[in-house]
Amino acid sequence: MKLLLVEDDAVLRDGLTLSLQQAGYAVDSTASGIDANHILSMQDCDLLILDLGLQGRDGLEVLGKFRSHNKSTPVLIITARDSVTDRVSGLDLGADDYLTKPFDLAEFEARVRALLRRSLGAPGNQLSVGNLRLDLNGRRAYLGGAPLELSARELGVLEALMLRAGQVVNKDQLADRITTLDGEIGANAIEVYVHRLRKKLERSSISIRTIRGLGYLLEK
Amino acid sequence: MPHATSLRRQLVSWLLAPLLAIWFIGGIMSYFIAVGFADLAHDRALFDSALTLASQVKSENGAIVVSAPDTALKMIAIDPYDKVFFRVTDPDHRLVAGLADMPAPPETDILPEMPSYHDGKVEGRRVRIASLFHTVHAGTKDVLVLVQVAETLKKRRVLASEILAGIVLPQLLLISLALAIGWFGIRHGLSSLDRIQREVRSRSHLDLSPLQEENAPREVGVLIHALNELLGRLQSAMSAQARFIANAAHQLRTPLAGIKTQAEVALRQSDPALIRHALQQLQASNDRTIHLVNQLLALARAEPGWEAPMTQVDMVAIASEATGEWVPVALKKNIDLGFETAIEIGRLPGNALLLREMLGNLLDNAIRYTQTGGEITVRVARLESLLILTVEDNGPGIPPAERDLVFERFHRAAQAQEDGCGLGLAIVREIAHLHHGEVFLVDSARGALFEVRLPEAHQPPGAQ
Repeated sequence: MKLLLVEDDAVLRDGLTLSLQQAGYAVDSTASGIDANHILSMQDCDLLILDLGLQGRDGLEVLGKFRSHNKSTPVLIITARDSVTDRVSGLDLGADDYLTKPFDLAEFEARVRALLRRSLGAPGNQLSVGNLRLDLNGRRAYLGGAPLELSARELGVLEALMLRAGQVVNKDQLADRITTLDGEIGANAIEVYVHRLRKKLERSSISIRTIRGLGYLLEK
Repeated sequence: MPHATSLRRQLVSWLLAPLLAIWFIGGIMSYFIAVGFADLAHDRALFDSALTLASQVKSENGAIVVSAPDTALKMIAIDPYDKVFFRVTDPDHRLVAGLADMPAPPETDILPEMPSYHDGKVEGRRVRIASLFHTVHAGTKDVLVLVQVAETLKKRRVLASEILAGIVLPQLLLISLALAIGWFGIRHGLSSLDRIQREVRSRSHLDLSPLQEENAPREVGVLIHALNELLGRLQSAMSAQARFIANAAHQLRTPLAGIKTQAEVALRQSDPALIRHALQQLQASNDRTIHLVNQLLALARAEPGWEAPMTQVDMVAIASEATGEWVPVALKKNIDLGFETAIEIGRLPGNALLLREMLGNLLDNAIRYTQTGGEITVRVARLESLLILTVEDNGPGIPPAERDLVFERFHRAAQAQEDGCGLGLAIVREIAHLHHGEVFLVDSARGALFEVRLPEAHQPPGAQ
């Protein structure tokens, strides 16, 4: 797994490189857009991490040039700019994700992992939160290793919650997730499925919390 | 300022036009009055000549004759200015003496010995004619003889123009005098403006003390008063700015000093536990700096002058999404953060990023100051043409003494913990103002209740 990091601040570049290397990635790093273009013309990489606001060469320009040759490799933009127009033009030119400086290292690592997973065509066929594990391909849930009996709709609700574990998932999003099975699903029906899921997860380390007026949140 | 209009010139020209009009109309009226008086005086003299002539008309042997010798008749016609003509005709309109083609009087029922005047033409000249029917004793009966004397108009005209000049020229002098008095009077009246100008010009840009209001005329006093009010506002804005910069410098340097110190300490240690401790401190200081810088930038963005693109946005969607994002933060303190809305959709012209930032600051504040296990509720409602966004918590609330201060920049609650920089509510207020709205701290039985009121529609200045 090869990553190219283009960042002109030496301290930040050093810190990010070290953390990525410790996570097991091979990392090339450079401070300039010209070097970046040079490196990219010599070798492939699996993820480009690009700072907008590079000296000498605008990062957006590097991105545009890179995208004109390379359609599939994911690009993560890190920048201190946060105006709306910058955000839009970055995503328009084909950036896959966007982080505003300063950011948490954990957040950065999570985004890198997610982008690599997406680009390698294996969209995380396993989800796990606490002692609950969901096999997305086999469409089965396991609690502490033991299979959990769930209906297709319960599984859909659980999948939506696990995909956004720790964040609020509203009822519309849950309904969308299971509507494809057959027909429209009302808000009341969602409550029924959540109620059933809670019963089946009673002895797990996770719980589904109701967030007043907003939806549900899966927490460890 | 060469193109600016002069107040003096304006006032004087406003005076000049009506004065000239009055002078002109007055001149015309005076002229007719003068002509009338001149006519009256000369008509009488003319009639006297006619009476003199009439006294010379006699009846001799049944024929009407003028008994005066030719020389005497010529005397009548002598006048230093005008040419004089006369005619005498008998009752059968036969010429007795004088000029044959004298116009007859227009009226025929003139009483004997009474004057009648009219205008006419003799020898191609305009003349004034006095006519008189005179009774002459011719034997047994009386006959009426028509006696007419005419004169050209020269001395009448001379007299009329002399009267006119006697009236109009002094008037012209009076008008000039009035204008001159106005010109210098206005200069005197406006001298307090000159004084203010000198006073303002000689000031340094730091001197914002009020201008002297005494001794100024009332009209100028109003202007000085308004200027003084502006100076007052400027003064308080500048001192607020100065306070803000001093505070920002303090708030920025303190955590930076902490970072520097902790980094140096860490480098001197060899015990991994001590290094780890220093690094933790370093991270905490750094997080505070990041928070402060972000807040300062948010404040700068929310300030008027920064062009925030406004579109039609849905407050309900923004509020529910933003609240959802803060739920994980609230859950870390086991705070029950909920959302309630009385409306499906709440459209208003606004900037979604800024509105999200506004609610984020209210929630950040509420979560900071609400105890573990507390409850916070975000509500959206509509009141007439206002969208009402409220954030209510059941925390300790805000003491009455601090309520007026909470929206001030860098104000921090007296019992505040380490974190928080005191800019959050100032940002909320700036963003509310940017949306032509207002934020209030409402009295609440339990914790704190902040209410933001945003108009559903506002007309930008100059737009239809």
